[in-house]
Amino acid sequence: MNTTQKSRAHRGHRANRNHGFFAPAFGNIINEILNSPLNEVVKDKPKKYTYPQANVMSEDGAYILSLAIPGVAKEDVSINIEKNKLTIKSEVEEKTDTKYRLREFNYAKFERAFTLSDDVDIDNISAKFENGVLTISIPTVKEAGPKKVEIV
Amino acid sequence: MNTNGITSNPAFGKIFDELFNRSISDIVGTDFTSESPSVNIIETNESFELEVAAPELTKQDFNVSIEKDQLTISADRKIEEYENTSTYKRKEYDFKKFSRKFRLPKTVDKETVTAKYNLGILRVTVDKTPEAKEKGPITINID
Repeated sequence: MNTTQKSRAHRGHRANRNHGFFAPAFGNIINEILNSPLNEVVKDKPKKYTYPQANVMSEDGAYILSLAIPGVAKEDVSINIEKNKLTIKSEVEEKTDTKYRLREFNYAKFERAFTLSDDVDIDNISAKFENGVLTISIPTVKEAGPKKVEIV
Repeated sequence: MNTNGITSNPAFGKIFDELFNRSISDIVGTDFTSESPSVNIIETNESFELEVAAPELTKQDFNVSIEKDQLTISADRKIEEYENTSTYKRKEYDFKKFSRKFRLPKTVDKETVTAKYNLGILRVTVDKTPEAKEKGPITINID
């Protein structure tokens, strides 16, 4: 491993630590559902090329989820919310006659799910699709402060 | 590796990321930020097509160049749209700045390289030389 690669690997690692995915701070945001059962991952190796990457940002009053699905058409993507589970998927059957010399990605058929936290306003979730990125805006509801009960 | 196709130079490629970062993340979930876009290379009868999966950029951010037999695809985006108002809670990709190099085979015409950015994919097409283009079966008439 040369220095460049080392620093890159290190940077990636540190970046995530700072963003605290495993830290409690992240806990009440969007927690990822277990990606898939272990045996499925081991057996179905090409899956990692069909598993789109996601960024999650926190803004004032909203979480912004960005899913990188380049090459996918807007009509083919479906977003579904059931209880507190947000699922994004596409189920396009790919052409089999294409001759690939190198294959590092394929998002024709994918599925990714996220668990939404309790402070999310499910009714006002919106999405847009631009330049291969699906951006889902998830507003949060203001937490009600401690309620004072008047004694009559 | 097939010498007739376009080859990705491993020293600049994703191989180290794959080896050192990806194996565990396959099982426990992604645990690092990908900074180098994935690439598909498709061969047709007339050309090679490189599909660079680099979403969230604009076509002005890319630079495609050829030097000798090396094709370099890079990007450098300076605009930081969200940095000031938002914080990352999870960051699995960041393609604002990258460079990937590919070795071109002798059977391509370096003068006819075209590139197009659509749906987050930069598609670079390198035509084959007339000699290398696959021709259909030829029927020879017997006199």
